[in-house]
Amino acid sequence: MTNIMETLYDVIFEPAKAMKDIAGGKKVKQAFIAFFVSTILPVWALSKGLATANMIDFTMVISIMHVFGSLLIWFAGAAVFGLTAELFGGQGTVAGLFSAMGFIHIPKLFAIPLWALSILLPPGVRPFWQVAGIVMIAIWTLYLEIAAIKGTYRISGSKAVLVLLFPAAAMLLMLVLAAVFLGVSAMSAMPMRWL
Amino acid sequence: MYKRSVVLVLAAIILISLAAVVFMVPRMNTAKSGGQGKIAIIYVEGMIIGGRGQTSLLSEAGGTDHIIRQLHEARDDSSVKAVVLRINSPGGSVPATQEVGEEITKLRNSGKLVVASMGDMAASGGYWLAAVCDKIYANHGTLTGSIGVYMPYSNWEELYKKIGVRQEKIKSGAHKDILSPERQITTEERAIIQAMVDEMYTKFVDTVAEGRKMDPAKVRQLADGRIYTGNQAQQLGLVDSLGNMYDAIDETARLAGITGKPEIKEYGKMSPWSMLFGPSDLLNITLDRLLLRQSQGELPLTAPLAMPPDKW
Repeated sequence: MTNIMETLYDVIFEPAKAMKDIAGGKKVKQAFIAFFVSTILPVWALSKGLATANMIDFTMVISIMHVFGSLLIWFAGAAVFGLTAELFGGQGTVAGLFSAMGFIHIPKLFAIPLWALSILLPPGVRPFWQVAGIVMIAIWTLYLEIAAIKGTYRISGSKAVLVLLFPAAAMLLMLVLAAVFLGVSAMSAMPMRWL
Repeated sequence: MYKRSVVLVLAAIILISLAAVVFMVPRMNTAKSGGQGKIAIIYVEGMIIGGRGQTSLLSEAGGTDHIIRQLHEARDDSSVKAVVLRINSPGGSVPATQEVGEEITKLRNSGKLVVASMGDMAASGGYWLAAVCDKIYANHGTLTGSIGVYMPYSNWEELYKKIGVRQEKIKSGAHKDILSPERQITTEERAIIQAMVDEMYTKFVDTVAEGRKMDPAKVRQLADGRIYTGNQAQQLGLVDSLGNMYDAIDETARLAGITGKPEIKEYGKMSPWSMLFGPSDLLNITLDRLLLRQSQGELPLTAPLAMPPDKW
C-alpha cells in the first residue's frame, strides 16, 4: 500500500495511473485528507490576502461557499458520475470514484505559489498571469476529473468526457422541457378572447 | 523515496508561498503606503437612532451602536492615524447623537485626527457630529445647519371625539401621560417640555460653539433651526472648506502627516447579502414613521434633532 506522498506524486505526474490505483484501492482516508488540504489552504490564503484589502465579508462567504460547495459536488458528483459511467458500460465502484475525485482539487494548491509570484510581477502583467494561472488550474482539474472517471470505470477518454457532460446536458434538457411545458400550459390556460 | 522527496519539495514551495502571501503581502502593502498609517472612513448614514440596528452574521447596519463600535475600533487600532467621518444624515435623537459625539471626542482625545465630510445632508444631529470633529468639509450644495431641537406633539382629541373613542387613564402622577395625543397639553406641561427643549438646545449650541471655537451668542444667532447650503455654512463659519470626500481624505492625510497616497481602511462595508438583497426596510426609518411610533408609545421619548422630511 502506497502512502499519501506517493499517491500525491502520482496524481501530479502520472494522473491516469494514479486514478486507477486510487479507485482500485478505494483510498477514502487519503482522499479526505487531500480534499480538505487542497480546498481549505488556497481559500485560507485567498481570504488572508483579501482581508488586507478590507474584503473580509466577501472572503467569508467565498470560503464557506467554496468548501461546502466542493464537498457537495464531491459527494453528489461521485454518485451521479458513477451511475452515468455504469450506464455508458463502465465497470467500477462509486466508492472508488469517490476516492479518486477527492484528489481532483490538488491543482488548486499550486494557485498559492502562482499568486505569491504574481505579487512580484509588475502591476500591468499581474492580471494576465493570474488569469493564465486560473485557466491552467481549471484545465488541470478538469483533466484529473476525466482521468478519475476513466481510471475508475475503465472507459475511453471520450466516454469519460461524455459521462462528465451527460448530467449537465440532461439537466439542461429537463429545464428546456419544463420551460416548454410551462409555456404551453400557460398559453392553453389563457382565455382566447378573440374567438 | 524519490517520489516522497519531490512531493516534500513541492509542499515546501507551497508552504513558503503561503507564508509569503499571508505575512508578506500585508507588510508590502504597508511599505507601499509608506508605513505612515491608515485613514479610517466611518459612515454615518440615515437617521441617528440609538440601538443595535440590524445585526446579522456578516454585517450590521442602522442604530448607533455599530458606529460607536467602529469608532472604538479605530481608536484601538494603532495603524489608524486619522478618521474621516462621512456624514449623510438628516439628524436623529438627542441621546444617540450625544453618545456618538462623545465617542468622537474620546477618539480625538486619544490623539487621532477626525475630519467630517458631509454628503447630501448633514443637518441637525448630523451637524452636531460634524461640529465635534477637527475639521469640516461640505459640498457646495450640501444641506446642513438646522441647529435646534424640537419635541413633537400631536393632538388627536377632535378625531377621537368624531369616531367615538374616549380613553380613560388611571395615572400615578399628574404628568405621567404628558404629550398624550388624546388630550390638549396643559400650560404647565408645555413649560416642562419647553424647559427640556431649552436645555437640550443650550447643550447643542454649547457643543457647536466649543467645536467650532465660536462665540455662543453668535451660534445662537445662526441656530434658529434654519438650514444652510454648504457654501452658506462656510461663509458663516459652520464649515471649514468646500470639497468632496476625496478632498477631505487628502486634507486629512496632509494634517496627519501622511505623504503620498494614504491607505484607506473602510469600516462598515456592505456585505454581499445586503448587496444582493438590498437594505432591509428596518433601516429605512423615516422621521414621520419614527414620530408616529413615538406618539404611539412604541419608542422611548426622545427629542429629535432632525430636519423634518418636508424640508428635504
